[in-house]
Amino acid sequence: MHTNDHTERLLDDLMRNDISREDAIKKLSEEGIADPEALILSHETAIKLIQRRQVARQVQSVHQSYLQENTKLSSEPVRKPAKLVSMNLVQPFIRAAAVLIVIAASWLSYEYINTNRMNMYSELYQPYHVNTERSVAGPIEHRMVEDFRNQQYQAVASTFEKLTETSNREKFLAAYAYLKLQRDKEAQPLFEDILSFNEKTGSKLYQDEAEYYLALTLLHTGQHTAALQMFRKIRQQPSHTYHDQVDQWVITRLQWIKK
Amino acid sequence: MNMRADVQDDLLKALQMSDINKPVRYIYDQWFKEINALLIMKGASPDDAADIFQEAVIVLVDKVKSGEYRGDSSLKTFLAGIAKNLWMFELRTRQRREKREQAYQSMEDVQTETRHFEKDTFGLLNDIMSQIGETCQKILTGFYYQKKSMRELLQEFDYENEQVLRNKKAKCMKSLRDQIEKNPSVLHELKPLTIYAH
Repeated sequence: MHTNDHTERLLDDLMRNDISREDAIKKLSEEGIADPEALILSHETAIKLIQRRQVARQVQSVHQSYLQENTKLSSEPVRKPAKLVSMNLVQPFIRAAAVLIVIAASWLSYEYINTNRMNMYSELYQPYHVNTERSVAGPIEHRMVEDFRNQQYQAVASTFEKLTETSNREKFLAAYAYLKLQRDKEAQPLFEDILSFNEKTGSKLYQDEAEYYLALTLLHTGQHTAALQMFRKIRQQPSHTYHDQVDQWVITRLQWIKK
Repeated sequence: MNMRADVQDDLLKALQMSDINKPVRYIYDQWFKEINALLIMKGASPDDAADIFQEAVIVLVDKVKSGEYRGDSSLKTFLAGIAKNLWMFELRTRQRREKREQAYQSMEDVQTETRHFEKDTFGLLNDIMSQIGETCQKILTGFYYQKKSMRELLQEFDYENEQVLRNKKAKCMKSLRDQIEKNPSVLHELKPLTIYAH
């Protein structure tokens, strides 16, 4: 199919709608084109091919660069969502555990902040009741016991101070009275005397009482290390009279105070 | 999210230009993920969806350039419609292929009908254009795609005068038409865009 520049111009004029299709066919026929319709179709297709190739080339270029960029992003390690179902099942438990942990932590924080020697002393203090079964040496000692029973601690202390010879009982009652009278410095050596005497003689009289109230006295006077040591000793002896008073929680809080 | 009217107008103007890299990139950034998700919901694999999206963009640009897009719907809706139609066409093609496979038990037929643009058409267009030589490609692309005048093209090419360039261009077009006649399948490949019309 022979064409020249004039034919090309006719075809291009038709593509731009500068002339009608009928006019184009007529003129092409006049130029000797055997099948003007076929030539027009071929020309249209050629132009379409040129344009489509350019569009496709640019779109393909963008497509590839876009996919490359997004593949890089999507190829970065992603945490597997495979455990989602089981997570959903355990989630309420985890939530409850988290709540409990928060509560426990809050409670511990509260305890930590509010634990001090005075409230520990108040918590651990146990009123002592005289054992009426035990025999009493003489009338003075008898009155001392009675005063003690009647919580006349000043009288107990006065009586004790007049005694020239004292047993563990008088020492203990007097020491306890001093403790009640806030005379810790006088109470402590009496408790220690009892323990010292028992250690030397092998006696067990007022041993547990002296240990426990000495520990309280040490705590009350701020001698934390010595107090902790004594409470630990009690804690380590299940047969100790005051063992049940000193649990691990007491030891823990005494350690906080020590710090 | 619908595109603002002024943004859409700018995009349409940009797509009318010969260099469409930026507006096409904008289309990818804005709508690739959403339309791909739509295609995947309709049964396309991620690779299929990506290929279909690319073809849909080519059709969209073609429709914008040819003035067939009249703005009756937003560009995004228009593009999504083209993509859906392309995917439906692809599904029907595959179904026909499967039926043939079942009927003839022949794997050879599988090769005869694949999706158009990305795998076959682009290669065919390149093959045809490469037959007419690099100079002809540049002249015809300059004139018919970049819409350059003969005077502008004369400044780019070393020809004595405009008439010589016109004669060269006429020869290039004849050569291209001859190649198209030798590859009649390209008529089929270029025409079917109408079936994707939204």
